Amino acid sequence: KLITPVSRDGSEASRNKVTVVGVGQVGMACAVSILLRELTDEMALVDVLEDKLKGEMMDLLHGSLFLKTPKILADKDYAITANSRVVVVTAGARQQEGESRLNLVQRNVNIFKFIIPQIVKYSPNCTLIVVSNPVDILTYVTWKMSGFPKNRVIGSGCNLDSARFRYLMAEKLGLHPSSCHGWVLGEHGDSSVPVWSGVNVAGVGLQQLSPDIGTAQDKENWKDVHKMVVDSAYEVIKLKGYTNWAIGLSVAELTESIVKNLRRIHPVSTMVKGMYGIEDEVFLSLPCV
Amino acid sequence: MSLKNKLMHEVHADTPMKATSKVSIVGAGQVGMSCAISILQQHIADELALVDRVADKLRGEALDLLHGSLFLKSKISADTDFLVTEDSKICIICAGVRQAVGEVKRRQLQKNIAIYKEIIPQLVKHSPNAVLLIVTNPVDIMTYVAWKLSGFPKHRVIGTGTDLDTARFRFLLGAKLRINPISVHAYIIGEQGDESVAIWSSANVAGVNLESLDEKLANEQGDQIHKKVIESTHDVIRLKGYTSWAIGLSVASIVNAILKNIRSIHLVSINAKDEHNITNDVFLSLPCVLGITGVCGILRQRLKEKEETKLKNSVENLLKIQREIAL
Repeated sequence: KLITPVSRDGSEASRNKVTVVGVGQVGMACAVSILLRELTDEMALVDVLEDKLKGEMMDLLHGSLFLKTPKILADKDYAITANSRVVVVTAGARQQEGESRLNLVQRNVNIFKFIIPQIVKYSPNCTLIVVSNPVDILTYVTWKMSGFPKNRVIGSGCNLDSARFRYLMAEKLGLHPSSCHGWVLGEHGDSSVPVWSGVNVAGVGLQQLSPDIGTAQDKENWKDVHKMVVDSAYEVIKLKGYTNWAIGLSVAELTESIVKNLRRIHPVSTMVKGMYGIEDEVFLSLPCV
Repeated sequence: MSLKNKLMHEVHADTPMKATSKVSIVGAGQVGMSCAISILQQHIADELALVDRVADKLRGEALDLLHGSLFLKSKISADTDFLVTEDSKICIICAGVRQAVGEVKRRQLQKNIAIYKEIIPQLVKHSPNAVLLIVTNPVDIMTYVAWKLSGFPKHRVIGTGTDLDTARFRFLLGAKLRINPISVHAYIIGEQGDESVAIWSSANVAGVNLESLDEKLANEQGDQIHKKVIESTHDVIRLKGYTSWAIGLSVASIVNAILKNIRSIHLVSINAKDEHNITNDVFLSLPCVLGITGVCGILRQRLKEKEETKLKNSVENLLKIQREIAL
């Protein structure tokens, strides 16, 4: 009685659908960050815990008035993820206090054996962002299980490590992180590599001003900056039990680049065979467009 | 010469500046952190301070946010000492205990009042001109408590009240009409919780009054929708253990209206004396115009008789509880 229909309400296909697999602390932080950045017109959430999943979906839906994502769905059945543009995979076990990410491998591979084929079935053309740890290995596993071309399987990798590095660098220099450029590459974890030669502010290389930077001889102990990056996750886990806000923001930034085709550069986990003399099929973070 | 000095030529010494739109959040639990991330991601405040009693958890949360600094535009600080809240424009209080299983509501209330007796004076000391935004439940009573303990004028003490209930109401109505909640205008006022009042007489879409269009919507179906709103909190708690995202978004929108002096209307819990024939100091939700000074105005609604009666019952109920509190 209220509305005169003008066009048939066909269910229009969503254009930028994003699916988040796993509604734990990390998954929901990614979901909320993506919603707050208004990146998608449809969001789907998947998990095995049905009550928790429904509760999270309802909590988001209740905030619909304040968001610009008209459709938010949740189900343990992957059918609701159909035709996603981007799928963020956060499912799996997480590090306990003091535990290394590598310890989680087998448990999470088993979970992925179930998840990945489901995602692929319903969204054969999506781009996968793997967040679960150990991210480099699981991104490799996802690539193998999905059969996707290597450009459509990325791991959140060192995007967060680099963000943390830039935050710490900014604190040291009294600047905003967005003006501090530094890249942490390689394994997202204990053996990540801070590329000192590239660390710069407005193109001025810090290594040129201070050739000892990053070494034990460096009086200002910049090496500690990288050490703090490596220790970051362990420290936050020790204090609050898990990390979520920073990784959520980091993943939202990656999602934005993909969905909007920005051609920004991010250090993400990708298949690096053929680069730097690497002859094996292995995933680790390099600056990617 | 330090690396920093080699890199940059200092033009003007970095003088510590007072924040111009600082927000403090007391309580770094799920609700507090959801408020924090909503405010930070929408770049609403230039500075955010977090306070909590549990030092480790607080530091962990603060670090987690700081690690995301690259993606944000606000200064973030945290401490167990309230000094960190200095010069806030708005202090959001999410602190408090949840109702324990089998606990009488009165016990929970007494515990929360005791907590506020510690918190409020500290906030007042460090931000004597701030607006206090209360989230702790039961929100109407806690807003009254905050007002009494702070001695602030009534335009600077508000509670999130039925703002979220109204958002949920608009969402459910919108889902039924297949219209975005933003275009569905309907209010829930009064005491937040089971006794809230849904105002059907003014519910409209583009000025078209819903009640006159479909009487059933305003009555049986309407009651069902209103009931669903009331049960919402319990439903979400039952499913995921607590609510966080929706209340965080609601709080962010209130904070935004105040800091940017938007003068938009929100359903917040305020001292309703002199409205709707209320003669006592009692806090409940009415449509308020929010701006930089806090509550700039209260919208006068013409209510139907049964809506007035329900409101009157709430007032009596709330007054009863207020009299029993030792402040």
